[in-house]
Amino acid sequence: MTHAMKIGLNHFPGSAALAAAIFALALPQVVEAQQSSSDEVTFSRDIAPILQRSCQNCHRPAGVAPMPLVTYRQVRRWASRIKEKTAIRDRAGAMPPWYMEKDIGIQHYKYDPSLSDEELAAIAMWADNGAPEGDPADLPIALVFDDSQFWTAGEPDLIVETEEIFMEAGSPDWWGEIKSVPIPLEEDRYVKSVEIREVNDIDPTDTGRETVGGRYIFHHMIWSTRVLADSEDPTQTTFGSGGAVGWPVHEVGRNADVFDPEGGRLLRAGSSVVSNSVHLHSSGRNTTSKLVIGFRFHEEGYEPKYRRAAVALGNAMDIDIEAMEAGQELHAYEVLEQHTKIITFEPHLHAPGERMCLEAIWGYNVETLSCVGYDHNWVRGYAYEDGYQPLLPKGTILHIVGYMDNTPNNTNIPDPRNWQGSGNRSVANMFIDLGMRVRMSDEQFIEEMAGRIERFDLNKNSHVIGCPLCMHTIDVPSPVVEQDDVGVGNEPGR
Amino acid sequence: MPSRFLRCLLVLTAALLTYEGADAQLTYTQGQTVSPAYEGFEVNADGSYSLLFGYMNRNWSEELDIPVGPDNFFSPGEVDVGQPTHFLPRRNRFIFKVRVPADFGDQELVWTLKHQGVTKVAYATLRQDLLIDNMVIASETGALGAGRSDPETRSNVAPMIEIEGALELQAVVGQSVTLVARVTDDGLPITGAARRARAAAARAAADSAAAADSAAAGGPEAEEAADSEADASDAEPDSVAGDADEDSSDDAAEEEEEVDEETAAALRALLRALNEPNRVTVNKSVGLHFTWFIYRGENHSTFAPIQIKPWEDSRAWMNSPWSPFWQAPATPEDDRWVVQVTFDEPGTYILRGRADDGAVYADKELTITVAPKPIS
Repeated sequence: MTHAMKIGLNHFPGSAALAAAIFALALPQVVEAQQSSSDEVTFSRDIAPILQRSCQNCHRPAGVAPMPLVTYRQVRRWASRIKEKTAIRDRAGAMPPWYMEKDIGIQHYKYDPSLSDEELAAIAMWADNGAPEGDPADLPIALVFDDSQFWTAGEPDLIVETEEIFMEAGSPDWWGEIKSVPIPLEEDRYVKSVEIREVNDIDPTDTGRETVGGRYIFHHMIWSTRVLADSEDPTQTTFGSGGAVGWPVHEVGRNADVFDPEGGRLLRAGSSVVSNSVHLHSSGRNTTSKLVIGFRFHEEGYEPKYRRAAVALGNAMDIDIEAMEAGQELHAYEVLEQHTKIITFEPHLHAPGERMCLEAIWGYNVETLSCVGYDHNWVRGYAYEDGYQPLLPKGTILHIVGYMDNTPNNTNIPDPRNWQGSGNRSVANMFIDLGMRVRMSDEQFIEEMAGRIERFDLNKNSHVIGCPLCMHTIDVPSPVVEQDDVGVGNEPGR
Repeated sequence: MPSRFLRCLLVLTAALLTYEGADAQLTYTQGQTVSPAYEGFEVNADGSYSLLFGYMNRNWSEELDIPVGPDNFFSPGEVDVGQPTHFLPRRNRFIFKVRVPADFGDQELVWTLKHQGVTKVAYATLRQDLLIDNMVIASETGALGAGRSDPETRSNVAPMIEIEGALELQAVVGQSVTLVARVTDDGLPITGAARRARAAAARAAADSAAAADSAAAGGPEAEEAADSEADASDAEPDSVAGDADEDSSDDAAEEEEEVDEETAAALRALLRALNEPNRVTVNKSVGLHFTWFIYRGENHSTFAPIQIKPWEDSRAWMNSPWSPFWQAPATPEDDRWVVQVTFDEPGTYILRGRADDGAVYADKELTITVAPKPIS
């Protein structure tokens, strides 16, 4: 691995590392425009707004996606392909690359670009009807594309860039350090979100991989920020040192990390980005690449209410994945030792991963919080919307279930005829929830639940997914079944 | 990559197969199958390739014996390329390699294992994703944790083994045979304890320098005050806490009441044991060690001292580098690892000696032919 000369962002026109959509290399189907009637689905009135909201962030001129999807002329030839990719919904290959399953668990997430059933039906109908343009007067105001679209969670207050790295085509996976990056910050600030984008010179229409990893070479970066003394070697002291602040792991094709509004993370003045754990995976082409890190700050004077909670949910030691089988399950558990608010769910599998679910086990109550599909080209973190984050009492057992697809249907893996085990390589297997959490005192826990009851006007017959004690705090007179009265045949509801 | 036709064929094949791994996470002690594993390929200096293999024995206790033949063979070509016939429990990575020529191209080498009527197959090819080197080996075995390295780590080279005496030995049942292996290594990678000590020294030096600077400037020494608000978890990236070696965890013992030294030691050990194991990635405690194990022949052996398990026993407090809290033994002063082995059944045994610094390894084999005990 060598460090190449530094090149600015504008040296990579057309390849800025947004979370782009890859429409596979099918021959485009040219569809003739048709005259529209008032009740038919048209591009101008119905489809263009969907594309603006969920697609054009990447599919735009100079975007990272292989083709722009802005004008009718650009879009119509891809109508069938758009129908096909959006219809995948929540599995690898779906567009937009957001894999939350909509029939299970919590359904409120920040920066959710997914399409509703109605929007999917409209796209299908539009494509099936010959992709009519409709009246151009119905078009929404065109988006103005500038550098702000580079960031999905809002324009950062501070941007830093890692030094460029060159990776040769066909080289084996590599793990190691980056050169530390000084952060030009003169006073401590709390961060509300951090977003990392890989900027490289890979041609999105001609990547060198048929398996995982054609678009990005940074497959992870475990990193922290800390104030370095002159004499320190940052590669030896990435974590665990005084003043170090750890940040969410960057993964291949990741979206932004949004912290709890009351759990901002501290970025110290004069600190540097340090990492001795960057995982590089060849794109199949000679690639020059760097990471661009954008921090968004809270207002000056902001103080966080919550402290982050340690997360250790996963097991990559004993993975056993048979050849030529899909739906193979892995399981891992963690007992929460403190009241906890879950901020994000972030499945981390590798090439064979196809799905992960998160469950909360409270006594005999088992509730699914989230289930998502998985594509190791586009690792997603799913940030629960404020007010919908799971509030779990200490003692809750978190359970993740990973689903592995080791068949030819999973084009990310090199040879599904082979058994697979654990490992750090992109084509080997990991099984982790890398999500974020904050811990809460008894008082904070009660306060959060009370706030939720008030906000959503909950009553004693309400149920909140991921909040097993929410109803406990509602003081509504009602018949009470004492615990001693509950026995076999006496359970409520019998 | 397979052609489109081949992929379609594979899809159909997959659909026709029944899933037999539904209980994959139950911890069976015996009665389960073994899968051969293709780990990847290395490029040799002369342009040839080495295809590396291992296996996964799904039993936590049962060691399997599958002689070379119709149940344990390679194809095409020689059926015996030096594969094991004795299979230790669980995951065994990078166990042997097969050299193929530079023009191997799109060919494949296939290892077939049949056990309990179930056939498992590994297909070795030169597909781009499967290129490996020492760093990949170190990573995949867990020496890099979630994937940390530095130039020193990457400069690590494998240990060297020199077996003293003949490589083919004779013995009789019950007779103790002394095996001596001289193992040398470069001392890398450094252990977790050494790394922490080094980091602590660096921090101390930095703090000292900072204090000196502050005093020289006449400024306050309060810059670390904010740090006191942070606890250890703040320094870790999300979700990879616990990824580091767990071979020092005596902090809680500092709070114990005054007791006699023996009790204090027992308490420290208990407190250490109560740290639940937590490894979200493959993780292995590094440090040089040498171990003998049966490679071919049924296991009728007894080693003294008991040998470190060369397989991935991930349960806490097991005698395996993959076991949480395991620590490498002290290296013999003269680098000579002396072991006694006895056999309680006659036969021919191939023993594999593996020197492992935690990241990369070296192997040597010797053969012991054991005759029945003479009737006196």
